[in-house]
Amino acid sequence: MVVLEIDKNDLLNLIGKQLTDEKIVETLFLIKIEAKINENKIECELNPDRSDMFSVEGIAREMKGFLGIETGIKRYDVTDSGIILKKQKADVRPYIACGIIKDITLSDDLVKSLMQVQEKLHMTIGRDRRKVAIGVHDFDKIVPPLVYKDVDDEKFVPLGKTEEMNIKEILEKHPKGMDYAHLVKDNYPLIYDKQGVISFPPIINSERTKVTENTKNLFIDVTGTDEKTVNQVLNILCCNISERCGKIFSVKVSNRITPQLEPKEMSINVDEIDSTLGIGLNENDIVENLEKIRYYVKKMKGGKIMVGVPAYRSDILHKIDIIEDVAVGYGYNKIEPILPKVATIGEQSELEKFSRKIRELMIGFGFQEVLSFVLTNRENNFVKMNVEGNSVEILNPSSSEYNTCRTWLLPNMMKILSSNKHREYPQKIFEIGDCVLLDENRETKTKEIRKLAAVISYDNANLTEMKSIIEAVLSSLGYKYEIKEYNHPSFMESRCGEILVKGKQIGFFGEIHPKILENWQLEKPVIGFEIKVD
Amino acid sequence: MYKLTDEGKEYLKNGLPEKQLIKFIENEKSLEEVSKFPKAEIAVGWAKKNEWIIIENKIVKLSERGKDVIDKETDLENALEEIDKKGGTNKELIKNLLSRKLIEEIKEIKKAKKPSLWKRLFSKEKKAEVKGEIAQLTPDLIKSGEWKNKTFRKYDVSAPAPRIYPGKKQPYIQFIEDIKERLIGLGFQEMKGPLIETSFWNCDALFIPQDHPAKSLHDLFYMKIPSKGNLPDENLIAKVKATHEGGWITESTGWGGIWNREEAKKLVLRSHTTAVSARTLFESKDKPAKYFTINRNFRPDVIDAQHLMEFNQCEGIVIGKNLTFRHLLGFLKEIAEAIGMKEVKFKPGFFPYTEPSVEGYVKHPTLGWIEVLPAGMFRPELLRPLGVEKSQVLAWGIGIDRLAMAKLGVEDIRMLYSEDLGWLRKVPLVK
Repeated sequence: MVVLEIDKNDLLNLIGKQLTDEKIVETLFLIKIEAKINENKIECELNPDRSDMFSVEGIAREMKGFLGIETGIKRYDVTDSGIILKKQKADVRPYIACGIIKDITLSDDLVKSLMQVQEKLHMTIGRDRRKVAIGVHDFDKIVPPLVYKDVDDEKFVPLGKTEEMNIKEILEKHPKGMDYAHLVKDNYPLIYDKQGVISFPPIINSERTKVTENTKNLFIDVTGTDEKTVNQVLNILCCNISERCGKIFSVKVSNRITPQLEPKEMSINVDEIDSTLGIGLNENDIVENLEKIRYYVKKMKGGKIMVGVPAYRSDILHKIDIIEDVAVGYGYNKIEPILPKVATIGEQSELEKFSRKIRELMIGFGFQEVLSFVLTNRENNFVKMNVEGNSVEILNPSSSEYNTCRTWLLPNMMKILSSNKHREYPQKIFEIGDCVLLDENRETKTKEIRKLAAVISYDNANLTEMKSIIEAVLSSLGYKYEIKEYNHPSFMESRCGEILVKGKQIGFFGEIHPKILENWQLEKPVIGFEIKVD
Repeated sequence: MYKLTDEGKEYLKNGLPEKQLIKFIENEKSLEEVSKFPKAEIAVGWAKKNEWIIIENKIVKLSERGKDVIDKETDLENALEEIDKKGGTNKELIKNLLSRKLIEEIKEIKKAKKPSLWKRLFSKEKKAEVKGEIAQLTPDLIKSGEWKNKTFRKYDVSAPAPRIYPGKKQPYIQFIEDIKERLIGLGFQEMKGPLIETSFWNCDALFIPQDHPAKSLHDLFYMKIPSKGNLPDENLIAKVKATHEGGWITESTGWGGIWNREEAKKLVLRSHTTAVSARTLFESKDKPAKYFTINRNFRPDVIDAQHLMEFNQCEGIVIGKNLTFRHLLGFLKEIAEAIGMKEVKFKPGFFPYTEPSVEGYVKHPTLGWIEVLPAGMFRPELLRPLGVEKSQVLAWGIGIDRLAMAKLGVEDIRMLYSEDLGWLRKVPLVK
């Protein structure tokens, strides 16, 4: 989620129409934005896909379309500035695109919006500046021609400083340098004009070309590791700023002109649109709805339409994305839900069905069901139970309490008993749950095993009582089982048994060893069992 | 502090029943005579336990020990006196007196009153006290027909009975089972998938770009041991790779860049049940079907009242030809009703693997509008590589933790996995 704070009056000025708070919130909701209005502030929650709406200008443009104030595509004229940027060897961030916006009025609203949109673009499609980074300069302080290249060192005054610093000093001492030093190593991409460095992407601009309250013309550089995204970000910035003020001028970057704001065309079958949406729209409805979302549409022969996609839309990968916008234009609130006729037979999975039967049996024996986390730690899963074993390990656990997956359920039963010592006894609890074991032969190198574990604890808890329950469970499930003596380090010697079905061990039971009771600070005897259920 | 119960007070005055009994026996008496002694049942029991009497051939005799104590104050009688005066005595005797319900602890006045009432009703000590009244119908009384001559003590139905706890399903499980039942009723079949997944099934097969923020260490648990799994068949891999890089035959532009198979091998703790849907689609292809799963997923959150690192999702997919977005909304409305919410509203949404996408909101009686139904139609970039060529697939993945909390009336999400037996025992069944 991207959270944006915009100014209500600014938004309404850009739209050019007064709207009630209710209407604003409702309209935003229908164009993918969840909004809350607090006096003059609108807090917007956006999905990360519509990066063109990461500024108030983009939101206003979209709202004007949806409300029918200004529909169809917005054309952005681009004039050649005659400025040239020469790209030399630039391997660190191989792609660069630049644009110029002239005759701007640097109002507080624009400054705020410009800072916000840069931050949001960096965070989202810019992947925290790794994929794309933006620099904005005062164009009049730049002395062309420009050069973009990798160097191994350089000295310049970075933004916010008065002294020259070399690259190493910037990366170690400048706050932005410290934040983003991990994105550059050994070679450093720099943009030069005739007088020296203007920008060190993705870290910092130069102090010399910084934007001030007197700035009339903006120069924007966008660099990155993915050409398409670099261009998209420049397009969004140029289009959105010019919604408010200014004229867009292009820069010749090596042999390419940027920005290129011509719409991209996509052809779609009209039939395909309504067969996906099921709303019952004809061609005219479709055209009208797409124009509300700021596309242009040309009717073609053979039941097709040609849709022009605005240059600021970075989220259109496939015609299905345009089909969604037909529904958005129509209004999700107007679509009547309907159920299809897909005749199918409902069924629970065998494992869940079986688990459910076991659950009901255990409840019949008076056990309270508990539910615990799959995640645990080795201390609980092994050490406190006096057993050794292997389990998976999480690379980035959010807490050392939960850095592996349980391999069995009894430890959690013990944990629950130990947090209920003040509760009435007898305590009889069970859990049915998945445990995760290592298994080199599987696709995921692990396997999950569904298990049942139960414990009884009170002054006179005894093995006979539990054995009766185990046998009742097993025979209710129709198992032909054998019970044999067994040694398990969690249980008292010679007070433990294993349960075998067709000669294979499916589980064990016994009286928990006093040492283990001590580990869990338990003072009453505990009888437990654990079996596989699959 | 302790005080005497009514019984305790009586025995302080008249002596313990076993003491009265040996006085009554003097030397020896027939069992028949002894059984007519007013508190015979209690008295004989304790006298025997203390080894004051010997019963042989239906004759009850005093033992040497019995003869010895007959004229002395016993420790227990002294203890009664001491408690009456000072509210306490040595621990052993207190335990003994408590077990005989002759004394009780003075706690809050309210609490102390109630148990004493039921003690009066159920206490064995009291049983034979009221002459001619019987508290319990016995097989002997029935067989001999003697019940006709007896008066039965009135049972005070308003008196509190001791609390017992049934074996019960865990409340969250009850909630999940109810939803499952509704979905099965709607014709959904349950699907399963592993908790530890390859990034391939958790992300790549869903057309989530490899550099997507949802794959960062802040949003996804990666495994250290084992760190990498196997990729499924090469044919599928080739299609997924081609789709990511340039759209393959799906008419998509793809994400661009190079798709890295090593990245796809990385094992993760499943972050959404959509991974299960991807596996299921690869198996079922174009066969019309409805599937669901309600299962555990993981995310690197730090536990507090609002966050857990494990969460449950209710995932559903509907596969069929001629399915439309309107149908998807139809299912969402149906599911909202299944969880008890009548009012629904829809907002356009975004998920990397669905288009059109929608976020369904339901109106909860206390929480207001809450967003619980993220859904969409799976993108062609997801479907084609998995072999779904002719069908549309409607899909949703509902976070049900919040709904469960609302249903169970808990405000702390940790309660869904509560370890508190007190709460688990007392919480009513989920409606």
